[in-house]
Amino acid sequence: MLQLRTFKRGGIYPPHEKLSADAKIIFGEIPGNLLIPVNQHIGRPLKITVKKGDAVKRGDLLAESTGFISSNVHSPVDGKVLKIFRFPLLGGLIREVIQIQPTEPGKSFKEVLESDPYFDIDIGSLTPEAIRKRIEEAGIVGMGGAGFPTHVKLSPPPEKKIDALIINGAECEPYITADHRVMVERSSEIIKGIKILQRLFENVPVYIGIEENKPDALKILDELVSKDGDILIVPLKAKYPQGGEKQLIKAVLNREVPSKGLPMDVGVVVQNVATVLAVYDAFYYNRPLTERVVTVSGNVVNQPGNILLPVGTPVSYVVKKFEIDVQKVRLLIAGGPMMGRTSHSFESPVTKTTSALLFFDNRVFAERRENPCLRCGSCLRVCPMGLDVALYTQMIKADKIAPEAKDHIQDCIECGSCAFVCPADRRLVQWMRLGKTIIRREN
Amino acid sequence: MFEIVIPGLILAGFALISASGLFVASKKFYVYEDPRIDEVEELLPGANCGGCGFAGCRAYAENAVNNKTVDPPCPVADAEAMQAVARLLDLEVEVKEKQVATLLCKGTHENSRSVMEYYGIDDCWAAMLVANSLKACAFSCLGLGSCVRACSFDAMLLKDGIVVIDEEKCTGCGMCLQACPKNLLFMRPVSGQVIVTCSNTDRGADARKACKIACIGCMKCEKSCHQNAIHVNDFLASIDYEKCTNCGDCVAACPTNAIEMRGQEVYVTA
Amino acid sequence: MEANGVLIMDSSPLGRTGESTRKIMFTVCLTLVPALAVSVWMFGWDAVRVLVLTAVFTVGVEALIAKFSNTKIDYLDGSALLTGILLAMNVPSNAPWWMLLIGAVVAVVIGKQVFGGLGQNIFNPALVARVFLLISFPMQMTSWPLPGAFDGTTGATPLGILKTEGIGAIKTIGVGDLAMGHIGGSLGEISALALLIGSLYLFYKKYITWEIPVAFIGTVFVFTGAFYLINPAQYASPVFHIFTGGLFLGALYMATDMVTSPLSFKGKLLFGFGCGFFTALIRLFGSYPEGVSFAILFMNAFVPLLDRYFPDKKFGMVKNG
Repeated sequence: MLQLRTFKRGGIYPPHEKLSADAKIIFGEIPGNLLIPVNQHIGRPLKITVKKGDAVKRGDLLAESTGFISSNVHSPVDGKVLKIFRFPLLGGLIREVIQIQPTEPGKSFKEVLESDPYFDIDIGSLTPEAIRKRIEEAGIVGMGGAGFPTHVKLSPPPEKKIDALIINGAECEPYITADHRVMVERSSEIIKGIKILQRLFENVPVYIGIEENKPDALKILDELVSKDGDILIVPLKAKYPQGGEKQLIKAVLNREVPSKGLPMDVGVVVQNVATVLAVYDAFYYNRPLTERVVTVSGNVVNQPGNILLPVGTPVSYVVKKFEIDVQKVRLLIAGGPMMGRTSHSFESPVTKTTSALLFFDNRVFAERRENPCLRCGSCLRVCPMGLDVALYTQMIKADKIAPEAKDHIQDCIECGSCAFVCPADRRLVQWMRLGKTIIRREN
Repeated sequence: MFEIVIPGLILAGFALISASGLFVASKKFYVYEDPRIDEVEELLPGANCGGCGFAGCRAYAENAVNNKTVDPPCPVADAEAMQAVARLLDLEVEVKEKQVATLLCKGTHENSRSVMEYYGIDDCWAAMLVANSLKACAFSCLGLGSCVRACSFDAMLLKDGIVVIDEEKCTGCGMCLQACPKNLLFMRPVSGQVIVTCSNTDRGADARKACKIACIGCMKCEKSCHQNAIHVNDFLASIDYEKCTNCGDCVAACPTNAIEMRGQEVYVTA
Repeated sequence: MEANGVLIMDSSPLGRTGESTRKIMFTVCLTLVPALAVSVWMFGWDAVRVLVLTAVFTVGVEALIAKFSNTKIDYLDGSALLTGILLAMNVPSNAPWWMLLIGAVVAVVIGKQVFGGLGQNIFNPALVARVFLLISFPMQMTSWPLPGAFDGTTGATPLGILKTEGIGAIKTIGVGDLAMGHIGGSLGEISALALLIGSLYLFYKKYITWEIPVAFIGTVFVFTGAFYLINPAQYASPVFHIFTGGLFLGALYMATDMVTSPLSFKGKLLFGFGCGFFTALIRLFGSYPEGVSFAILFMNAFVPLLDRYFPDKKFGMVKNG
């Protein structure tokens, strides 16, 4: 057996709970109404280009970017703009949404996808500029969770020499299997997508990092790339947060991204497998990013699965499709249990970054109350960034953040390892995020 | 007998050397400080609340004396104290009416129902990271008391999920305004008794759904006002306290009780 | 679509390992059972009396404070119980009840609650109480019932004998006696082996780490060993020093107290080294026969500094590029 690579410092081993690992990606129908959030990315807010009553076609622009770090939003279906208003999104933030009434509600989404024309493009003829432009137009953002516009990540300044491209298939979060299923079912498309990205950096070597708990994905991709010299499959140890960008680079290439730095500072670009698939779709089907694979799981879901959903589908559609008993649901998480955000409304829509919808009947672990910190040091031991979480949170609580601690607080990747092991049930991640807010307010 | 004299003399010698050292040091390192700084500081309230923007009353006094200014005036000190400070520095000060912090929300548990059970840290800024609003109304007071902790005068307390302000104790320092992540607090002159206790800028129907007392932007108050002192913008009424005469016509006209007349009885003097 | 009641909103992560303050505290208490069993076997019912009284007193005092405090104090979280047990292991088995009560009040009030309760105290509460009792009641705290002597005869600890009567008087005490507990002393002083067995589980659970105990005991060994090599006729052997007194109790259970020990790797090593250094210094040259408690309390005061100036290296603290 090959030596499994991993990052050295910190990390935890939460139960995998990949309940839906063997469930094929299914297709739903077009839901009754779609609520399409205007801003689904990190960066500058968008400008809405439609108004109430407008008729839109699938793939039409709904809101356009207003700068470089910004990403377009398109309509996933044919329909009519009903209303533009503010609504709680998954994660509790209240933001502007565009409500679209589809012309053909109930139509199988598989048919919609199949009616998209296929273009047999010649990758060799694409220039890097054309590739970046297409990715920007298609509104592709990092689909692993953060939602950073992909074209920005793919446009490092010329002084940063990129000598490695890492494809993130780690999927270290418990429960989530969306990337896993995509790797198993759409492996050849992913390889084609990688070929497009490879064109951007003078055919750099590509590493696909996959955790060992996905043997089928490892096997399929390994067979596909065996005849291909410059794509390497890297089996990784199943350890959380293996999928964190900095941890993944450390594991695969043993390079350490400097504090406050970006992967490009060590000559690396990291892309998620789902993002690569979106790139493939953008070129071969001319599809903007308007749908994504979502894992539906949790302890009140009888048949956990993976479903391809158009962006804007309300959670209530998923509840019906998977026959979830809402009376039992007490906790709804968008994303994984470690980094996902809770949500309080079943009408909140799926966005480009929603990798999973998890339904639980109650939270078995944490209590409402925070207990005093024991200084046990568990949080330091598991922190993949080596941060003195216990000390920083006390500074933040007292609103007296030491100047030398500020950089470290901003280095927190919010992976949640510290709070996961904290015996005193302290909301360490929330404190760290509050610390970041305080620092941002001061500046 | 003689033995006791020697240590005595040695000690006295030490004392003399140290004392002269201290004397020299105090002369050599003497820093002139305007005595009026102390006097001004005497006159200030001494709460060190930071409402003026300086790091405490001493810092304010230093600025006032060294730069010969009473601008901005201490928001806490009463008019007499400020005039005394101004007289000391040969300055004129404009007498302003006392300002009090006012919460533009009445989203109590009864009026705007909770839509979630919040488990996180009891701090408004921390809660904003998890959810923009804990209640049906997106604009409502979170009721976790970041402003209460910012108040140096014990003038605020949490009640039924919103903050109530004791206008007797409130000094108008304005520290709570910065502590509110939703900008629900504002300063009004204490004589202005009419308050629109709502910040919801959603359309009428949506606002009404979110809260029982929401301002729905119906314009009835604007029409009822003879002083042209109340205006509706973005489906939300606001009062111009320069013009308002506390007549109460708008309070009577409001269909949702979103406008409130502050009488003595609503003051909390807990 | 409405759920049954409103949904829970919280910051990520939504999962927990299930560790809790209570679990840690009660686990530590349980790992002390072998050592306690040895002391009961050696001292009989007196040991049980001291244990139960001290535990009841400490938890009782904390409960009283919790009742009159504005902040919520969970007095049943096991931390007070652990303080009580550790205090009991630091006093002679014939200690009168009022002394135990004073010890409990000092430990909980002065040692812990005045600093703001659990997690805020600078000094180990049990040691604060022990030192308080040692200074206030030197007679009672230095005449130790001899193990197995149920007739009430008392004597000094091996270290006490060494201090007062010199090296010749301890020649008869073998290493086996020291390790197994056939020596005079407090409840927790007498069996190094039982303490080590109990603490193995704490190492396994990572409640304590190796740095402090190893640095502590190692430093004592090296220092006393150096003097033993220079003049074996005057100084006792390092093995004797390691197995006598409260060194094992101190190194495994007191110095490693989560609240009052450093967090960083270097800090822990320095902390252990300091504890060992001052213990050896007091034992060899001080007027007290035993120095573990003083050394630990002294080093406790340096914990914030150690944490501040010897932090662990952070991820990404590398030169750019």
